[in-house]
Amino acid sequence: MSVQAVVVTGLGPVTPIGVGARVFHEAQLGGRSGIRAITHFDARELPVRIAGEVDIPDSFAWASRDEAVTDRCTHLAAVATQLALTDSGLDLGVEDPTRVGVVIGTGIGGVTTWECAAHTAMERGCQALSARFIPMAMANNAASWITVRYGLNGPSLAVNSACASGAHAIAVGHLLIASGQADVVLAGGAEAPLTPIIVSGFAQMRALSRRNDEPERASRPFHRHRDGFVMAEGAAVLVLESAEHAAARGANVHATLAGAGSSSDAFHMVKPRPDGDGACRALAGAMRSAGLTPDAVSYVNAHGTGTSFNDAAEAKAVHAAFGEMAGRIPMSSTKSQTGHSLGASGAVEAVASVQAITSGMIPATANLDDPDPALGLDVVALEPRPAAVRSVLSSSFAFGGHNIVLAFTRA
Amino acid sequence: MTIEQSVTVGVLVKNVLVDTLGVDPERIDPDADLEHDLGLDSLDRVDLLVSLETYTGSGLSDEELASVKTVRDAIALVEQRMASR
Repeated sequence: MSVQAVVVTGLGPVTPIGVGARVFHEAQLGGRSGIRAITHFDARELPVRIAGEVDIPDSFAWASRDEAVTDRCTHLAAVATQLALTDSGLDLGVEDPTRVGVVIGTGIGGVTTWECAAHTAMERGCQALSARFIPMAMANNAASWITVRYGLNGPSLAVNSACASGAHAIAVGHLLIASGQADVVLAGGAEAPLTPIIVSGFAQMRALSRRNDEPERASRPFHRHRDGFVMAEGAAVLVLESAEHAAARGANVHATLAGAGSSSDAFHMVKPRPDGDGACRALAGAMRSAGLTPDAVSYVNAHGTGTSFNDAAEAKAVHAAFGEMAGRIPMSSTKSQTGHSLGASGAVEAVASVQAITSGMIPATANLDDPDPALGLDVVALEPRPAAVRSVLSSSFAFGGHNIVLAFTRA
Repeated sequence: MTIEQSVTVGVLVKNVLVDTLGVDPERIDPDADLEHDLGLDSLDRVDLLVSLETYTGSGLSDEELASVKTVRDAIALVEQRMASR
């Protein structure tokens, strides 16, 4: 069996700074922040009252019937899928549906549905629960919804590795195509975690920034005075195809998905290994898989959450993986603008990584007016940097110690 | 069963279809088939009946649930239960 090369032909980001590839890219380069006071629910009594919320454009609004039977997590994934398909120019009407797969990562799935069901059960008893509660809440709902909506019969599944889910989903899509199990995979992540209980849960862990009075300045990865991440919702789907399939239909190829590296910390449920060893092995694995040496990496899209622990461990990992090159490879954190959309973030950042290649612009890390000098990294701060971007590593290091790094190269 | 009660039950069923199941109110008429005209499936049928149980005050069997095909059937079932209370 020959190993198929995998390319990216469609991008569908759904983020707090913009919906759709062009809008998202312009917002990135313009330094826009998607963080604001929470409007999804009354957060006035909570210690954390800010988040990255997505404004779904009216053209993607759903009829009341669809809203009633589908969790927001799936709605975000549905918008991302539609955008990615449009961007790819793929005509599913002429594709063999058994050769098109769907892999959608999510950290929590239909959590709004869970919370509403819990309220119903407590207030009115368990027999008042909706018969649709389980299917709406299950983490594979988005993947299933996409197969039904588009009539796709290839392999489909959900992937969960917490904040690495979206990137892992793309890596699984890569495997499905490279191994010949599919010609096309719609791969990405979706998350709609902005509920009182989930926001409060993360706040209780002391993982979140409490800069409630300056939301747009709160997400500050790699900053000397970072104080935690900012939660967000979002989704992104990429159309992945075998290079052969893309060439046969004359597709516009954005980039090659050249490989991936993954590892486990085997250390702690939420704390990264302080020496960054697990993350380092994922970075090294991605380079090996893509046939890259450290000096050939143009840009690293960091996991960069803005927690004290992550950014310090990530810096250690980058130093260990890149050696003397570490301080010279441009890095930046998309989360500085979008916030952290958990299981969607790896897919959103994959979009940003591909766009760095196609545009020749490395997006900046917002709010980074005082970089943490202890990290010793070249973090692109405040203003985007023009560069001949030939290859990008996109890192996701999750709660649970799941690490994955995707490698994209110029097509 | 008075005329007022019958009208009320019709409104009640319509409200459940619109508010709980998200059905477009324009599409609801007494002869609308729940599955073919309103796009409801077996899970929606359960939710419809569970919501109506709140008003009838008694449980509805799976057989009764299966017998409801149209909006009119749902109204009739609730009326019948309310009349026998």
